[in-house]
Amino acid sequence: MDARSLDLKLATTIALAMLLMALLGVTNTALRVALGIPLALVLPGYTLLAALFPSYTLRGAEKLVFSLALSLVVAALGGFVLNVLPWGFQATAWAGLLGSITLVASGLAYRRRASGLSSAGTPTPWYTGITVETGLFFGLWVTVVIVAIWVARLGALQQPAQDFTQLWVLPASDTNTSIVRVGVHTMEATPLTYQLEVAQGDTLIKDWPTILLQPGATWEVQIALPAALSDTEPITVRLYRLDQPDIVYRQGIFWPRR
Amino acid sequence: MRSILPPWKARATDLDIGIASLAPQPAVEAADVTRQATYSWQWLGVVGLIAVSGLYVIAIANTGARFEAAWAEPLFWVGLLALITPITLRLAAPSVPRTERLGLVTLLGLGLYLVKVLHSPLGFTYFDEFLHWRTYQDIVTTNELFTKNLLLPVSAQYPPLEIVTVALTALTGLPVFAAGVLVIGVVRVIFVLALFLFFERLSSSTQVASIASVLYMANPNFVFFNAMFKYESMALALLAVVLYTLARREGTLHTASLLRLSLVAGLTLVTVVMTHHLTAFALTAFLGLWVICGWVIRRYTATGSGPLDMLVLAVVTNLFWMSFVATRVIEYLGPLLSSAATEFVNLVAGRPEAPRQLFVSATGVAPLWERAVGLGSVALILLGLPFGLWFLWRRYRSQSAVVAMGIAALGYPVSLLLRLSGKSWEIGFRASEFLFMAVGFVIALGVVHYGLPGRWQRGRVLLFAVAVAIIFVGGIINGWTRQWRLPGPYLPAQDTRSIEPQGIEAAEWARIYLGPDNVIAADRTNTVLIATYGSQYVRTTLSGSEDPGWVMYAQYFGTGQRELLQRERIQYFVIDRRLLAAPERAARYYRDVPLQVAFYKFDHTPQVNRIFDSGAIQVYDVGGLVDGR
Repeated sequence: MDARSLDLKLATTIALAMLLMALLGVTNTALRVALGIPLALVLPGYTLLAALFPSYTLRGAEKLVFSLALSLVVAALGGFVLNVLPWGFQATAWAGLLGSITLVASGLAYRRRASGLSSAGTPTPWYTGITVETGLFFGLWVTVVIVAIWVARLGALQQPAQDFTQLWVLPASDTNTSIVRVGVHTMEATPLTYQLEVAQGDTLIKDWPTILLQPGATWEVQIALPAALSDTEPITVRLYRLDQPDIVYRQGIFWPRR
Repeated sequence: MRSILPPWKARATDLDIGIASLAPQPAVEAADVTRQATYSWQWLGVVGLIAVSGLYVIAIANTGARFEAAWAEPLFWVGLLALITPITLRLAAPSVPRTERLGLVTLLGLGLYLVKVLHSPLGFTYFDEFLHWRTYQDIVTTNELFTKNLLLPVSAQYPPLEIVTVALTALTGLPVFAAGVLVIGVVRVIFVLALFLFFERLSSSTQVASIASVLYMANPNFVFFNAMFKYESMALALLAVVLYTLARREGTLHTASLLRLSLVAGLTLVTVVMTHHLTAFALTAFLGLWVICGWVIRRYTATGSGPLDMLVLAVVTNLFWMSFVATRVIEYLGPLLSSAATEFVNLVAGRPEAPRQLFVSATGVAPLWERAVGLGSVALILLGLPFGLWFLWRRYRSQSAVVAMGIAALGYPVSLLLRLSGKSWEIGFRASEFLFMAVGFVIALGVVHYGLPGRWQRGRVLLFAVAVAIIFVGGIINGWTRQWRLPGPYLPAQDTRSIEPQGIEAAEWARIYLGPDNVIAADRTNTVLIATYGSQYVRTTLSGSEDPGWVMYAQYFGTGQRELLQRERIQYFVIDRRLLAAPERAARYYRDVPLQVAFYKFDHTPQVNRIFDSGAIQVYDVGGLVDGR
């Protein structure tokens, strides 16, 4: 390929690399992102456009619009094709589909360019006149946007939200309701000590006087229910915070089954 | 009638001649070209830097809003104006080069997209986004298209947005939120550039094109609604590509280029039809209008035609898709459209069935300044339209596409009328994203030819920038509920403001401890959380189910309620006690049953287990009520 087809060469390389990575099951995220984004959103449209309109005078904004839009169209219509094929929507299938389209379109574009169908000359590039100073301005744009996103993310992460603790009571399995799973998960801001009691009416079945949980921690236990339980009254599972022992903090209700 | 040939028609012989080369080319030295270009890039750099600083201000405003700072909302508007105004001022100048205009328009389009991203930078928080996330999940988990999405069944029948996102996540390993943000970002670039090129093609003026693009972005849906991860966002961008390609084709005489452009337009049009129903219908309607205008114009002049082939393609693909794939679309849109049509007649007759009070939301009546700016923006648009239409008639009446745009712009006052009733406002609201293409273009014609030229030009430009600022701010006020514009503390039953960690964690608990695909009923917010984070089946009226609200908000589990549970095979209920602060949501079910009483029954009915409690949210197993499970 001549120097004028460096773009097609690059597209071909990315498509082949992505195909290879998908076949070998490469999981390196940075590499997959670096190659996957152009293959999914740019290259199929770009190379198809190059094959359809080999001239260099379709440029700048028009080229960008058609490249991106055709890439979306190719991926969308390609999805309908994958839907009827046995491989489904796996990475290999996508890499195969979009990679093949990119390779075939690149080949066609190269042939059309080489056969002189692009008669018009190379136009003035869109980036004519960009200097170091203006480049610095664009660098500042990007920096400001990145900082803005960082500030927004930080604000969202630090937004005050109600602390909470989850309590659950579930049968150990669908078939065995005589064993229940009781669990506690804390999303409180500080470590908390809890007390848990399982009772039916006034009859205490089991209790755990102190359960110390760090933020984000989970505590779980399985309880075998006594056989002599009444089925006209529910089992209640009450969770207390030791700093507020008179208030039922969380409660589960479980009706025994015969 | 005078025949006016568009400038490119007189000279263009091949597509492969770019539009820039059609303009008169004065003999200039290469050094001059480079010097002018450098000057232009410098302007772009400076104006762009001020504009993106507005984004930083908005990020701070959002953070302040999360901590309930009183200054947050004013700062948000300051940031927004910092983003819009410098770009508007620069674009109003007549001698700005095309590349700079393209750069500024793209920057504004992307900047306004980032306003939405800065609002929700960690995950999807808008209601509609969850609906499409679920379709995405269904495709990934089943490896098939067209599975039933119970949140919005019609979404699964229009899957291209989700297909593209699946492709991106499969190839890159990115999480769905990051992939969604990226896809919609790309869509936004396509959209604003295609709009600019379309307007430029119609008007032969980069100034008109850039001002029309800015005015389009002032439509009430652009900043938030059309920036969401939803099918409409993608379809709108592709619609603009179809329109531009067809306008480009109009000036092409070379057969091979014409065929290639037709192929691009056709493929894109078919994708629009598969992506979003309303956009497909709007595109078909506009193509019809364009063709009719072409026929009428051709009777009087030698020029004028219309894309009849694309109209036929649009009609055929729409009918095919609705008949064989999107079979639920009539069921989904039919009631909405017929109700709006009936109410429109009532509104015209002055007897609306559901009169709607403007500027009123769940948090009360909007402040006076918001009402003034909201109404002012509408008044400015209505004021600008006649000037643009007059110029259009004088200068462009032989161009079918431009005449079609003029006629479409007349739909704007009608859409305003639709907003006056609760039964039709949604159609009026949705229509603005289509109508503003015509409205923006027509007003831009008037502004560029009557508004900006003449004495006191700086004053005129300043006045124009103020008007655009009012239209922008007013658009957001008119289109977006007050409490949704900025993030903030939890509010009950307020979509984006109701998405918070406790609800998300409850949904994730359900996925882990109950397993996926249980039938669960919940309120609106928890329904979308449990269906996406929780991977559960939900019951919604949209999916053809009976409304589980008739059980949730009932005083007790009577026979009717138990039968409904049996019919819908509902196993669990998610009860969010924070809804007690928004009792009006439940009042439409049982007016006389207080919400406290409705929730009380879950803890005091035999065989109903409270299996989960996180304080505000409880999950109840009601399976024992109907089948002894």
